[in-house]
Parts: sequence; structure tokens; C-alpha cells
Amino acid sequence: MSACPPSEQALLIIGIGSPFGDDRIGWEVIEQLQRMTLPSGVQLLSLDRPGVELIERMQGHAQVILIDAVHSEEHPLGTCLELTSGSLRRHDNASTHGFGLAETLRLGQSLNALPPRLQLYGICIRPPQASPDAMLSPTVKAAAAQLARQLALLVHPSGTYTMEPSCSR
Amino acid sequence: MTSRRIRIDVPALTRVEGEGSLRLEINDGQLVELGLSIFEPPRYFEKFLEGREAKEVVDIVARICGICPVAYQVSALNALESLSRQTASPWVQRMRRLFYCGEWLQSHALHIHLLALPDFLGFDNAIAMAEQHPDEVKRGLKLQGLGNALIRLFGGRSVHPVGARLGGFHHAPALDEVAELVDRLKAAQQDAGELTRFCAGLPLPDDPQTFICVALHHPDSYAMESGEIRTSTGLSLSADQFEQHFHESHKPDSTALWSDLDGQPYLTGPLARLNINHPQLPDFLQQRISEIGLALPSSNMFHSLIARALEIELVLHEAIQRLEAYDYPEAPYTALPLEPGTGCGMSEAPRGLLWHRYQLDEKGLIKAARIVPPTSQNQARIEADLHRSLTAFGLDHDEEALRLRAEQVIRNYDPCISCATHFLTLEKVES
Repeated sequence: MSACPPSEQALLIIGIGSPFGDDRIGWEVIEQLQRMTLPSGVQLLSLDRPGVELIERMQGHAQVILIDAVHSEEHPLGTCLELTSGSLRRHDNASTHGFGLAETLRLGQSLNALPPRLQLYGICIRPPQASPDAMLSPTVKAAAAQLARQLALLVHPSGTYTMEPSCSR
Repeated sequence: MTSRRIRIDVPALTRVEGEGSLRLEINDGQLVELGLSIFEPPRYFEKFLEGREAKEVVDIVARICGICPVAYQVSALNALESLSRQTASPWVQRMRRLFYCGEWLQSHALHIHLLALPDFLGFDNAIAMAEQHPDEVKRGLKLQGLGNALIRLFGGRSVHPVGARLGGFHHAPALDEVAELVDRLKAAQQDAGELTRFCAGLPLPDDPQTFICVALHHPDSYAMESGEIRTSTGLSLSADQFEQHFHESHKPDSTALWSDLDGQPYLTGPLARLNINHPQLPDFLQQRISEIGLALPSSNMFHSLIARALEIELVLHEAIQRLEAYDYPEAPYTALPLEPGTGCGMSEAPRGLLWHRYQLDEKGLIKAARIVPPTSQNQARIEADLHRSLTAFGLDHDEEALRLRAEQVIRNYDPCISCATHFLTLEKVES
């Protein structure tokens, strides 16, 4: 986990998670991105259930991409969704986060304290029941790899990442 | 005769994700039953620790609570290091208090702004409150962020930090990181002073109660990371004597343990600390207490809110002082060989006294562990408070008003942040 100083220029990608099995998916995406060659203006950050501190962590960044696990009855395991804060109410987190992401973003909205450009990607997981430090399931791990390549292409279109875009709105 | 049974479910009162419920039964205007039930997962952590090496404990216990991991780490270290003939260096002892200041700052700032204020400003939750009181909420987030930054300085990260170890820390912060944080902390001191005045100006219920206060006391400073137990009944106890006076028992409808002090409910937490240790506060806080007209010791449980604000001012002040005097050490830890035996240790978590005991065998493995967190210690007091507060409030109020007052009373003991936005749901059964 690394601290990133605020920068108006930088794009910040934050993976949110906990050590509980597939709930670590956000961290996995960041780890995948760390192995890729990305433009210097892109900052990567993994956070363990930041709660409302997420608002402070996003301050000063013109663009932020958030990645978190979501629980949805409507979508199969490993489905990647590009979400809006409105749809988050339907896809409210199944993770062990205290002050959930949906509530935190709503609070940030009320305070007019969210970054000008904010994107949110969710990968569907089962509610975490595994013990701490359990491994990621293969389906979810594959979805993380795919989302990482998609984000790499998004921030660096001329990069040589091989993949098909996978996230649906 | 009117009889009504009100059932209130309270999710997430203990640790991070415990669940609880409150049962109220009112018959003919009389409170005939009041039961606070906590459905907290049994303490598997104490079992998880058995067979582990002593050095692993500090990282495992950091996982017990997402709000107060530093408290769990420091209490564990105090207990384990009591089994060494050597002590951690003065630098480590100073930095542990600094590390702990971060936890009080972040936990208290969140509690006041996101849990408590909506009750007193008339909102269902912090999100609704933020639209009309954005400056107050932003102040809370700023103070909380600074507390987390202080925890990260030593812990590497603010949730479940990993920087602490037996004998000290894995690394010492660099001088430039320290200097940068000092400037930010100084810039927040005015906010903290305003926060105390703001809390003192809130329409807090005035309902004096009689209760026993229990807090650590240290001869040199307002106790936080170490000290001996003092009670308002006059007891002075070491960590080793805790079990002679404090007892835990199961209640039939609760999976959490209830604590008593020689058979009596008691209070642990910020108001208990303030009542016992307020003469040790620095001069500027003595002046603040006079300025806001707070008489101490206080018997109004709702003054816990003001106690938290005063403690925020205290830890900001102390953190600045300690960071300004920061020196980069030769080594951030001292190797402390531990001897077999039983070690007890404690500290003041944001919510109150946190006591640990570990039994270490000849191979250096944990043979037994016992952890007594503040939440279970306060449960009997919360129930007594509810009984008293709801009766004083008036049992003829409608369920909504009774529910709100019950929530306020419970929140006052600083329940977990996860219940902030969906606290009590009420089910009324007429009979």
C-alpha cells in the first residue's frame, strides 16, 4: 500500500478491498496494473476499507477511478460492471467495509467534494464467507486481470495490452 | 390498560460487525422489561492466537477492530513485553503514544461528526446532515484524515496497521514526512478548538446519573498507552490485578460477555478518563474547560461528546509537540527476549479500557489469551443508562421518540461506525 501525494494533474486509480477472499479484488487489479508500464501521471493506490477517508484520499485529483467488489444477484460471478453512484444503491457492497462505498460517495456528493471525473468499476463476487487471507477464486482473479488490461488501455491507448473490453454499463 | 411491546434491533454494536437488539416492554406507563442483547461472534481471536509465536500476536490482534487496531496492538505489546527483563527504548515509548494519538484523533472525529452530531442537529444520518452542515462534516473528515495520517506514519496504513512489532516499530518515519505532518496538524488546531466550543453549545440532554468511572491513570501524563487502573470508588490496580476485581459473565440472550467491577456496572471511555484524569490536562485545556463552563467530574453521560472533543485537542497538541521534538533513532526497536509466563497489559482505546493477558510457554508460543474490550465492559452500564434515561425522558412518548432517545443513549458509548447510517429498526407489537 503506498501513499500518493495529491496532484491536480494525476489520474488516481484506487482499488478498495479487505483480506477476505474475493473481497480483495480491488487490490488484485492494482497489483496487476503495477506490473504494467503506465504513463507517469497515473497513480495507483490500494486501500483496506477506507470508509469516509476515501473522500480525503481523492481530494486534489482531477480524475479518479475506483475499483471495488460488489454483490449482485443479477449478474454472474466475475462480471465487471461500470457503475454510477446511483446504481450503487442496488449494488450495495457485500464486503466488510464499515461505512460503505455507496454511503461514502453519497456523503462526498452532499459535500460537493468528489473529483470532477469519477469512474467506478465493480466486479461481482459472492458475499465473503471465507476466512481471512483466503485465496481469490479463479473466476474473480481472471476478471481482475481483464479489468486491469482494460484500464491500462484506457489510460494508455497506444499500449500493447491484449484484451477485449469486458465491462458493461 | 394499555400495554405495548416495542422491539428495537440494533445492528453492529460491538467490534466491527456485531449485532444486537434492544427489547423494551412498557406496561401501563411502566418499564417492565429492558434487555440489551448483543449477538457478537464469540471471541475466536483468543483461540486463533493459541499456538502462535509471540511476535505474530501484534499483527493478528490488529485485525480484531477496524476502528481501534492501534489500541489492540499496544495492549498486546504491553502484555507481552511485561514478560521481558528489558523494556522498549524511551524513543519507542514516546512514539507509541504518538501512534496512539492518531487513533484517538481519527476515532473521536468520526464519532462526533458522523455518529453523534446527526442526533443533536436533527438528521437521520450524516449524509442528510452534510447538505445543511457541510463545514462541520468537512471538519470531521479533515480531523479524521489527520488521525489516519498519523497512524500511517508508523503503521504503514491506517486500517489494520502493520508497522508495530515487539520492542518498537519495523521502521522509523523519515524527517521530511514528520515535518510535513506537523504543519498539517498545526493547521487543524483552530478547528479542534472550535469543535469543543461547538459541542459544548449543542442542546445535550441534562440528566445526571450515578455511575462508577474506570480509567487508566499515569503519573506523568493523561493516560493513553499505559498506566494503572483507577476507579472513582478509590481503587488503584495493576494490569495483573484486573481479574481480581473485574469479572465477565454470559447473559442468556447475548453472545458477548458482560463485565462488572466487584458486581457493579461501570463506565469506561472518554468521560471516565476525563473525570479521573482532567487535572493532568495542559493549561490551555483547563482554560477551555472553564470557558465552556464544564464542571468536572461530570455525571451527565452526554458530556462524553465534549470529552471526545477535548481529547481531540489534547492529542493534536501532544502530537505536534512530539513530532517537533522527533529524532531519527539508531534503531526503531529493541530486541526483547520474552520469558515463559503470564503477562497482562492494557491501554485506553478510544472507547475505553482494553485489557489483554497472554500465557507464553517454554517454546515461545501462546498457550492462552484473554482479551477484554471496552464494548463488553460498557454493556451493563449502557443497559442501566437506558433504563434511567428512558424513564426520565418519559415512557409516554411515542415509539419514534423513544427509539431516538434509545439510539442517542447507545451511540453516546461510541458504537461501531458501520451502524451510523442504518442503526435501529423498530417493530411495535401491541398487546
